[in-house]
Amino acid sequence: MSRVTQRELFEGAVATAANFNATLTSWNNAAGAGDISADNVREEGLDTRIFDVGSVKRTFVSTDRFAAGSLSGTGFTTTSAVYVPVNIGGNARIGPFDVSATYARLVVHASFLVRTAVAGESIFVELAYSTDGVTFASLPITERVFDGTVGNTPYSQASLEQSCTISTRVFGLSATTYVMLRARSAGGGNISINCVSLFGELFRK
Amino acid sequence: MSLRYRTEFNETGDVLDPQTWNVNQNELTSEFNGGLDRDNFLAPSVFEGQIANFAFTAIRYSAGVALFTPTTTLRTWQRITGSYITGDFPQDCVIICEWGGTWTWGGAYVGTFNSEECVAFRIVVDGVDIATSHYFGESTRRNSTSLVGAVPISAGTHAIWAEVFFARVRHRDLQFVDDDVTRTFDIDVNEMLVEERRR
Repeated sequence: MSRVTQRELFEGAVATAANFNATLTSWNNAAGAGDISADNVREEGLDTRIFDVGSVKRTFVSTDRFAAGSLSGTGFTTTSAVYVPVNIGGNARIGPFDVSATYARLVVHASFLVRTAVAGESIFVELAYSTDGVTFASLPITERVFDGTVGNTPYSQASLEQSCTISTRVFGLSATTYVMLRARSAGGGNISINCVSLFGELFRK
Repeated sequence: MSLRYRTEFNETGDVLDPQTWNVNQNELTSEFNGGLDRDNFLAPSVFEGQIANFAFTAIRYSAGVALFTPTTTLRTWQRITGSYITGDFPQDCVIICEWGGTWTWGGAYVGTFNSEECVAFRIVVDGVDIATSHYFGESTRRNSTSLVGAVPISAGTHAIWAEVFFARVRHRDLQFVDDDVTRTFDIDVNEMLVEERRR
């Protein structure tokens, strides 16, 4: 119980030790270590000043943008039929994020523009994660596929150009969790990934 | 309020008045019993471990891993299995809902110069749509869609899900035509992410 009950004194009455002691005991019970709780705080009485920086959620700021919590870039092309990192002057990799706490949730947004001039080609894009920043594993739920239009429609065209955003969450991983954007070309035709924005936000409370 | 003043002072030689004691104690007690606020705390003195889990933000998530095959002949919105979130929201908040997935048309292209079969998606909160896509034509056999919407909700039980709708759409003015959709359709992986911003 974090509330204090005060024993009042009255004029003309005998001021017994019990009266004083009861009040002091109540203070002791209410204000001891770990006793102060939400009952003691005024409704909406707290603001950002009292919270430690990063105690609620975190983004990462770094002089090395490719080691930070967010990045952007453009100009990636590949003909690889297996997943390769989207390289926009550096691999599109963010982290490390500390996702080790049971309540921590890393929300990742990856926006990009896919394009191919190869008729019928398919572009695969996905997010992958790593606990060491080196070896990455797929997050299969994040895989997005884009087919180039094949020439069987009245409005057939060879090229495909489309933007998309992958929104997902990651949790239960290590204190050094990295996320990377990867892409591949299904048929080995030339594809490009442009206008990339990759952003991670770690919600802690 | 963090600034408290003793309202009664005792001076040497005074006759002790119990009200002096009572009033001074009341000043402290009333502050402590629910009156503490930001002025009482050193900045920034509250650390992560002292904050209740999900006090400010909760992340809700639903993944549609299994293939979902809606009925393309239905002319109503159909709920996408796997992208469904329901539960109790303990307080008023804003929810940011994001849905994304990959989908595939089955069968051969049946479009004409006049029209073709199309699909659209939307995010629904308690039956009200908060984000809707345009119509994706069947000329792109396999494609991906992402949607995002935000809405304030009250405390209580709410449901959030994604839906899909099929129609044959005219190229000229994007109006529906009467013909039924005949091709099959699969929604592959899809995921619904809801950020519950409580504060």
